[in-house]
Amino acid sequence: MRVNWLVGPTEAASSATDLSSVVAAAQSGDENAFRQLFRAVQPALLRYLRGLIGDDADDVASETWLQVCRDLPTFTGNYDNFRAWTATIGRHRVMDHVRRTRRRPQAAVPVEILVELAGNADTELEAADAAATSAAIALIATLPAQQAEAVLLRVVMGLDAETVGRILGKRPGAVRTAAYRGLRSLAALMPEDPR
Amino acid sequence: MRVPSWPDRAAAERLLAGDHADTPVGRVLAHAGRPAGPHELAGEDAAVAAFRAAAAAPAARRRRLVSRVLALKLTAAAVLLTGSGLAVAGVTGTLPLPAGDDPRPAPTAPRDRLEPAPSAGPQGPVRVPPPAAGTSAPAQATPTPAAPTNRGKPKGPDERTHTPPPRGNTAHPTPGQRNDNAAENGSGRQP
Repeated sequence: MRVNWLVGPTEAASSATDLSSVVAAAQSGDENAFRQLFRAVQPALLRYLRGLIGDDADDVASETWLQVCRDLPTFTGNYDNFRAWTATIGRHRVMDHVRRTRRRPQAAVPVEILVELAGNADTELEAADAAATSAAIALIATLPAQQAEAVLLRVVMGLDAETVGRILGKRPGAVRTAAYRGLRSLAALMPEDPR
Repeated sequence: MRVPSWPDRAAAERLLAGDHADTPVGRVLAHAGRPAGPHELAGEDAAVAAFRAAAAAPAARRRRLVSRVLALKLTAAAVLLTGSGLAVAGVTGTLPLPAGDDPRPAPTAPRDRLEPAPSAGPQGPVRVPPPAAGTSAPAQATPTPAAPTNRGKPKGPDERTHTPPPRGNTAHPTPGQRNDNAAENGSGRQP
């Protein structure tokens, strides 16, 4: 099954898993290589999109992969570039989607979830993990848009400040500041530390 | 909202790097970035199908174009057929209108239509129905069937309803040309 392939966003982000050769193979039409890329990138992409647009993230992710497939032959770059490229496409598809539906994502996170989330150290169950991840994304999504996006791109997509800056059209310093402010806002939402 | 004293800029960078995972914010970030579960790969087959389709795109696109052209041709043919069918119906459909007692125009109208234009030409102005209509009160009844038959036969000014069908049928070369063009376009887009 797929379990062998589980690659987390954090792992995908680390330079240890460099899939640059896989990107090249996918570009030359290797279906398995593409599958590997999808498994490595999709979870992070989906979380990022969910943070931007909520429940419509699945649709937007599908649209994103359609375009990735279509434009892959013309893409140039390594695996880091590929993830940034995918995030950029996803971001554009989100903007299209918002324009089309005239709907802004609205994520409301019940306080109990926040408390539980902040206090809950580890859970074994996949369902609980998934719920915690969703809650965490939803929580980050409550930040002002620029802060939320900076945090999501850095933490979830695992991109550095320079790359995020290129995606957002900002200087790396501005990205760092946005993320920093976002984290401070999160800390303000959180229950006090000792709890 | 209280202003937290933590994290400062440096701590924020460390948080983003995955440190401070024992703090509330650190835990939130850890949850947000945790390894994927199987449910997050739900779209895999669809994405791979898209990949496959994109890889086969040039050929598929050409095929799609050809089939689209074929569909156009079929639609055009259907429209023409329906048009001529409607025209026939227009001719024959007028028969009930004159009166229930007068079936004779029915044969004449289609027959006229099938006949070559020259023979129909003289009949047109004369108005075919009159012999039949002459017996019964004709004044209102006859003009109605006569008008469509007139339109059909002489390729004169009012040929709009009848002339298209024969032209369309004989004009099959035109769709064929269109097809060639489309194929050229298709191959032109490939590179």
